[in-house]
This record gives sequence, C-alpha cells and structure tokens, in this order.
Amino acid sequence: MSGWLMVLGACYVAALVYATLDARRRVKSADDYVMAGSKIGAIFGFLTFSATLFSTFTLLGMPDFYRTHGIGAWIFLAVADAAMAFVLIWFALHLRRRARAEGFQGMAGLLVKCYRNRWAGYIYLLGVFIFLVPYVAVQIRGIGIFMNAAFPDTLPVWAWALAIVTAMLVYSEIGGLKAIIYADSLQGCVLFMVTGVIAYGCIANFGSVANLFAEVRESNAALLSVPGPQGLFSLQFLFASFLVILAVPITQPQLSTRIVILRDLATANQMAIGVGFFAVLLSLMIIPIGMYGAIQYPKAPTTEFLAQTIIYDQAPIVAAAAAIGLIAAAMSTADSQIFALGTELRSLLNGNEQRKLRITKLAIVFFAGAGLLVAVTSNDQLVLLARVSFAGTAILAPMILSAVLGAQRPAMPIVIATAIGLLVFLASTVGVLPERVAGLRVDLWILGGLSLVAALGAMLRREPPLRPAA
Amino acid sequence: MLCVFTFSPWNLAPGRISPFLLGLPYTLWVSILLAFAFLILTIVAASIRSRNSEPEDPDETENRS
Repeated sequence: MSGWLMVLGACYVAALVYATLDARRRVKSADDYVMAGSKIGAIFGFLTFSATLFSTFTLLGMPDFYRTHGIGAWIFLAVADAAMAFVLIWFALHLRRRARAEGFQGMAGLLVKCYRNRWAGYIYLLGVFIFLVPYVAVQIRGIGIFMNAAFPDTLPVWAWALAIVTAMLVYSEIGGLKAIIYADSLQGCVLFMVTGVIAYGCIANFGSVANLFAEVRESNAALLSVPGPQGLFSLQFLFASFLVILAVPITQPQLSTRIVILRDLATANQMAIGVGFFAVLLSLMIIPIGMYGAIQYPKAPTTEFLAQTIIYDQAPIVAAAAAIGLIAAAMSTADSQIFALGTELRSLLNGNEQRKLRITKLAIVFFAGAGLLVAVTSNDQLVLLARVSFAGTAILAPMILSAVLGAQRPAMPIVIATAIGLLVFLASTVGVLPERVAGLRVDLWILGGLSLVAALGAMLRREPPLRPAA
Repeated sequence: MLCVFTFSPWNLAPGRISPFLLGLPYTLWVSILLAFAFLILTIVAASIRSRNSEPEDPDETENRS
C-alpha cells in the first residue's frame, strides 16, 4: 500500500500546489484574498460548502457512532443536514440582503453595523473562537490518531497534527480564500468517492444491504432502533442536536462567508440543493461502514475499528486513497475555520487594508496554533466534541437572526443575554453547572431563553429602521 | 409537519425495528424518506425563491432585460 500512498499522495500534493499557485495568481486585492472576489459559482460553491461542513468527524466519527449507538445516528446527522439545506435557502436570502445593505467583511463586522455597538462583534468573535477552536482540534486530532493507528511506525499523533496544520497554513497564507475553495473542491470530491468505494466494499462483504442488517440484528438488535444500546439517542438529544445543526450555517463564520461570496441568490439556492444532496448521499454511504464495524469489530477500540475497516480490510489502492481522503477531509474543514476566524477579526479592525491584512495573516497563524494545542491535549470523543462546538456556536443564532432579519436596529439586551448564555453553556460543559435543569438539557434552556429575549426585543423595540435591504 | 413527524413516537419508536423495508429497520427507512422529503421541500423553496426574488444588482437587471 505504501507505493500507492506515495503515488496518490504525490498527485494530491501536486493538485494542491497547482490550485494554490493559480489562486495566488488571481488575487489582485485584499478583498480577493479574504473574500475570493465574491463571484463564486454554484459548483465551486456547493463543493466548498460541503467539504467545509463534512470533515474528519464524518468519515471517522460517524461510522463509530453507528457502530456504537446504532441507526439513530442517521437522524442525528442526515435528517438534520437535509433540514439544514432548507434553512440555508431561507437564511441566504436574508443574509445576502443585509450584507448588500450594510456591506460585508465578516459576520462580526456586520453585527457591529446592525447593532451599532462593537460589543456585538466582540461577543460573536469570542463565541466562535471558543467553540470553533475545539472543532478545528477535532479535525486535526482525528486524523492524527487515525494515521498513527493505521501507520504506527511512521509519526506520533502530534507530528501528524503538526504536518497537517503546516500544510494548511502554507496554502491558506499564499492563496487566501480562493486557494481554500479550490482545495475544498478537490477534497470534497476525494472524500465522496473514497467513502463510496469503502461503503460498497462493506456491503459486498455481506452480499446485500438486507444481509448486512440481518447480521446486525443477530449480533446486537438494539443498534437497529432508537435510543440505541447505550440510550444516547433520546428524543431530547436528537431534538437539541437537530436545532444546533440547523443553526450551523447561521452561526459558523466559514459557512456564512460562503453564502455571501456566491455570485447571486440563484447560485445560493443551487448551492443549498447541492449541499442537501451531498449530505444525504454521503450519510447514506456512512451507514454500511458503521454496520460493518458493528458486526466485525463490535468490541474493538475506536482507532482499531477505523484502521481495520478503512485501511487494512481494503485493497491497497483504496486504502491509500482513503488515507489521502481523510487527510483532505480534515484539512478542508480546519483550514476554512481558521481562515474564517482571521476574516472575522479583520472585519472588526480599523485602519488601512495592508495593515488589516497583515494582522489577519498573523491571526490565522495564531488560531492554527491554538487549534494544534487543543488537538494535542484533547480526548478522543470526536463526535461529542464536535457536537459541543455546534451547540456552543448555536447560542449565537438569536443574536445573529435579530440583526439579519430585523428591520430596525436590534436591542442590546440580546447581546448581553448571549454573553451570559455562552458563559452558562461553558460552565455546563466543564461541569461547573449541571448538564440538565428540571430534566431539560442546558443548551435547550439557553436557546429557548435567548429566542424569547430576541422575540421580545423585536416586538418592543421602537428604533429608526436599519438601511433598507435592497 | 416534517419536523413534528421526525420527533414523534411514530418515527422514534423505542425498540421498534419492524417492519423492514428493503432490509432496512423501521426507524431508518422512515427517516431516510424524511430526509428526502426535506430535500424535495428545499428544491420547491429554491424554485419559488428564484422565481419571485428580484435581481440582486442593477447589472443583473440590465443583462436580463
């Protein structure tokens, strides 16, 4: 397999270098560098959005989720993502209107303009920093532990993580967002094809889908229904997860930026449909990989199950492509998030463009370093760490929606309430406050409370209108 | 309605695995249909939005007229 790994790895690196240099050639201004020229078409749009959305946790975390907790994982991810595509259509219309009216350099900057208060931008930036850095770490650590398990005699986890972060930084710093979009498109295609080939192999091993599920029924029937063998997929867990996944394109800057930089609204609509189908088809292909693991490696540790299923049980060329695909998946999500954090910081800066760009580039290096640090020190619960990240950023949704949807300047209490909500969620996550209050998850309490504050603010506010949305 | 059905006891029936459809357990095949229903809804919403919304910039208006 190492021969194939070198051949495919060389092809991948060559494509990445070509894409980076081509992007570099096309960058003529700071706006080109940070916003990719804001004329992205539907194909690149849906590929970069999908590759950014789906990451290491899709191909490493989700099969393990199916193997351990059963078919409720489909509702957790695929149903929520399909509904998210619908939310994307609605949110894109309103965000693009507001962005045209106020100007858009990043969500933090847009919030400052809408609230006419810098604290709205600071709290947004703080929120995404706190919760996106762990998500970046999920990608980096996920691929690090997998590569370490699959190729134990090569590099330790931290060295794989460092190599990936360095590669991301090189092409992000050289080619800006356009290089990231090209790389994402390449990575999205690789991820999709590799997952398809592995899924086909897992089904072929049992002859048919029906045989695969019949075997699972024999070995552990609890996997075939909710809440699963360990009771994880309760109604409350699935509903809270559904809400936070719906909020992902609203709250996560790497996705909201991609909505704004598309050529026009029709392109945004086409992108949303593409993302929805990509999500559902990719999720369909993950199911047999997880079920295969439930039959063949029911008791194995996560890393052993993944290394066996994705590498050792595959033909050498497929295993090599899978390793490349996994690295690509990790990079495509983490690079976008790190770059988006830099973009958000830039949208809060004043001064000339050269200075702002210099600070942005330094900030990207800082955010990458923070992600690397958390990656090296965090635990191996990839999906649950990702869910905390989704839930944390979802807390920002009412504050953002108040700014994007409202005709008037939104009221400041929602900004203050959001800051309190972030603190409470953080305290709950680290165990200072309980995870549930009166039987209900804390994230549901916070989202409900903030939605109420936002609704009351919109009803009671009597302010001059914001600039009319075109 | 799709959201309500997704989280209703008809879909999230604890421990229920039959009837099977094409070898898939009950909650899985129902949820797969739900996901595709959301996608159809997305296509309908996109086509309505594209038909009803005005061009985003004046250049686009000129190009279209």
